[in-house]
Amino acid sequence: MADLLNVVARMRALEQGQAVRIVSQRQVLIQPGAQILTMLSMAGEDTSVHAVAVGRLGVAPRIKVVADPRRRDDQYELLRWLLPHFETYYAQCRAEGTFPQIWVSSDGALGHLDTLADRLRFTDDQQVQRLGELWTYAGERSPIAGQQALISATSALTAHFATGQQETEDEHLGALLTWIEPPPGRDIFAAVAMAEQQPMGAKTDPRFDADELQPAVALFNKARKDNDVRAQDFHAGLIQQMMEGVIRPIYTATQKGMAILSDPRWQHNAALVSLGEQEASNFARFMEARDEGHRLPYHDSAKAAAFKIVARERTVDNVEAAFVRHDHAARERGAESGTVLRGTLVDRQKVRLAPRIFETRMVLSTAQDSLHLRAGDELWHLDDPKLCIRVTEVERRGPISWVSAIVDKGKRAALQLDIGNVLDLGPENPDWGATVREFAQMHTRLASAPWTHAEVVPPAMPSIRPRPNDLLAAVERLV
Amino acid sequence: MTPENARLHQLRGGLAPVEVGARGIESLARNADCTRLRAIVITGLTPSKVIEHVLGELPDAMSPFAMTLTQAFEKRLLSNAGGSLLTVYREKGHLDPQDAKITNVADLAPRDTQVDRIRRERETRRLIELKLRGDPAAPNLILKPRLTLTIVGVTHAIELDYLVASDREPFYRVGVIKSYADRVGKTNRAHIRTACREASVGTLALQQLLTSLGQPVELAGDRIDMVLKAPGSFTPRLYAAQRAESELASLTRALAAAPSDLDQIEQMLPAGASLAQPEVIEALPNHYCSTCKEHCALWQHCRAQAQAQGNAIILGDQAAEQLAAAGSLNRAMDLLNGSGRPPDNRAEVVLAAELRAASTLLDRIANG
Repeated sequence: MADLLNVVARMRALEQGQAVRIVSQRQVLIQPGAQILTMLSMAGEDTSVHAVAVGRLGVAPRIKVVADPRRRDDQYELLRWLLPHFETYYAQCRAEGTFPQIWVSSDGALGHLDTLADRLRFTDDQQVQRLGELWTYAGERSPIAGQQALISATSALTAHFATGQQETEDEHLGALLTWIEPPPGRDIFAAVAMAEQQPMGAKTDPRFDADELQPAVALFNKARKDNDVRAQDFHAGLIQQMMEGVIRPIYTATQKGMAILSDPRWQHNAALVSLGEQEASNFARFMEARDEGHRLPYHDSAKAAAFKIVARERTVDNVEAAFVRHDHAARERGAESGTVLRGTLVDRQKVRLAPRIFETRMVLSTAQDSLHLRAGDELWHLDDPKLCIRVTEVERRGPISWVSAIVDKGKRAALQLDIGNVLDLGPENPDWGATVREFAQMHTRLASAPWTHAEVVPPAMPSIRPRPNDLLAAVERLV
Repeated sequence: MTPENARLHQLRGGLAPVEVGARGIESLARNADCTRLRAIVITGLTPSKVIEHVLGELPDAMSPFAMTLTQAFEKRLLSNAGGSLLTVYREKGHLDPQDAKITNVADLAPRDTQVDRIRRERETRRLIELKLRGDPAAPNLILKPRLTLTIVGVTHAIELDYLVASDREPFYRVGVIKSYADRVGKTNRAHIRTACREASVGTLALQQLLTSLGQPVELAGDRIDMVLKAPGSFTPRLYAAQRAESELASLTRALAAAPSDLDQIEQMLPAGASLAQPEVIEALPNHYCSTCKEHCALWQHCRAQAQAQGNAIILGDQAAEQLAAAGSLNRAMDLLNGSGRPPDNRAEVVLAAELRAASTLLDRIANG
């Protein structure tokens, strides 16, 4: 159904000739001082910045262009020009206990920033290195679920809207915005095709390169070679104009994307509050590590990679748990996919097992046909974090499933529930501190490199303990 | 002109043939179901050429900056008789110090003439035969080899970047040079896959050559070498003996699909028609999909056609798959809205119910 939901949303958009909303609550946090960063690289030169536009929502961009980014001195000058801007912004976020947020136009632009961050850290210029370090915060956070540090406008918008085109076509910010706010009285496909003519990523159009930019850059380089300062300035000015003509629309489109998502029609999403807090604490740790002079390596060691994978996996769980609690769309999708049990309370009772030993039991019925449940699963009431049940039996009778459970936590609250109440039960509240505890455990276990990462394979040492009858249960007890 | 060439000439409608090369043949594997692309490539044209000469539009262009960089990187590696490339192999331990024999086929016949092209083909074949005979004079690196690949009875020439084998190895592996920035785990996977498939085209050509020489095709193996560029510099990074079995398999499958010979292509066209006529190009069945934009200059035409036909693919691969029971997007819309004629069969009944349930859920989510 989740797949079909996406398809139906796109069908509706196509039918209406306009993108349709797929959520009612905001899916990304928009920081008040969030920076819009638009950069254009030279084709083929993935680590270059030919032009940059930087600013905020509602503010005109500051633009800098270099005539030929392949010349290292000019390139470094542009990057050094950017450093104070980000240094100040990061310091301000740190002082306020928040986190920096950078908005780029698309995933392509996001990849460009990440590539640059990785590259600039290893240059021989300290200021450029520092810029690379600052951008690395955003780059390293970008693949992590729920991160709010580096946002691509296309990803943010597609989390809120579905268009009547292919998902890959949504990666063009201009086309996406055309679907969201189509020009009146025009065929949507024609309008989108027109919008697609304007580059919206991190590179200029190849034909523009061939017809205009490359000849201008060649003339600039010739003037420089001839030491003709006037001609040099003239061609540099021409290149500046050309690049501004490309970069301004991208910056403006990113601003427009932000503005659309800042609209008050999007309801508050409490899940984003905890994501913001996590981002701020991650940022504080990152900056402390920089202050302490810790290096940011290009490759993680096996041990560091293991820690990062664990942190990422835990974050995915936490983000899902936060959204399923506070985001209406995520919960509905969860109920549809079966990760959320939406059941009607059929029975709840307190059973005396022994003198002064009681057990609270409850039975729920549900018509969900895609439930993923088995005995022993722990489910938490999504609207009352105190109530937790442990499933003892799941029985399917006709179209209805009957779920029997023991109340582990919130027994009194369970007994006060009315029969016939519809409860949403799902994963536990996000446990953001769990990663730290897990790290402590891993630190002990990985004190010496495991044999999987050592040179010598240790000899087989069969266990002398008896084999457990229920191997699965024994493994699960280890966790 | 051989009869086969005459037929191809007729199919091209007088347009001069172009060497589609490994990249062109590789693109067939990306969309094996696209008859339009197959017909164009097999007859010795490219989508870009069709756009320019048949549809009268501006073809896809490559940025001169990117082109300069690509050429410079390749030149850096292959200049000085391939010394840089040899060094990379030695540093990584894939060639021994005594493995120092390099031949640049392009140097022997550098011109872009028919005579020189044939000389390059013959020279490549001669060098490969040396290796097969176990001749110690067989080069360890053959730069710019020219091989042929027969697809549905039509022979295509392909010029590869290089072939490599140490004296210890029985046969050559195909190597490709790409100026993609190597970001290790973060390198664009689509780029890697494209490079592997391009090299696999060379492996297929080697297999065909081995067959024609009565040698076992297994000698060509299923591994390829790839040289990428370190980000921000011209430092080469070698990835030797990379597994390319899935790319080889997908390529083999794609080349085996219909139309499997010239007869079938001719039968698809009206009598006397050729690919030089825009209406013939438009009439050839296409298979527009989400990846067409990455490799085919005709993607906008195919997309416009899909939009006009109400093909569900315009909403993505997922939609095309999910709405297959309806046959078209318009019919799927009818089923969603309960308009038009009632469901024709059980599959449509189920689809209609599912679409309406999803629509109700969407309303609940979006307005909740």
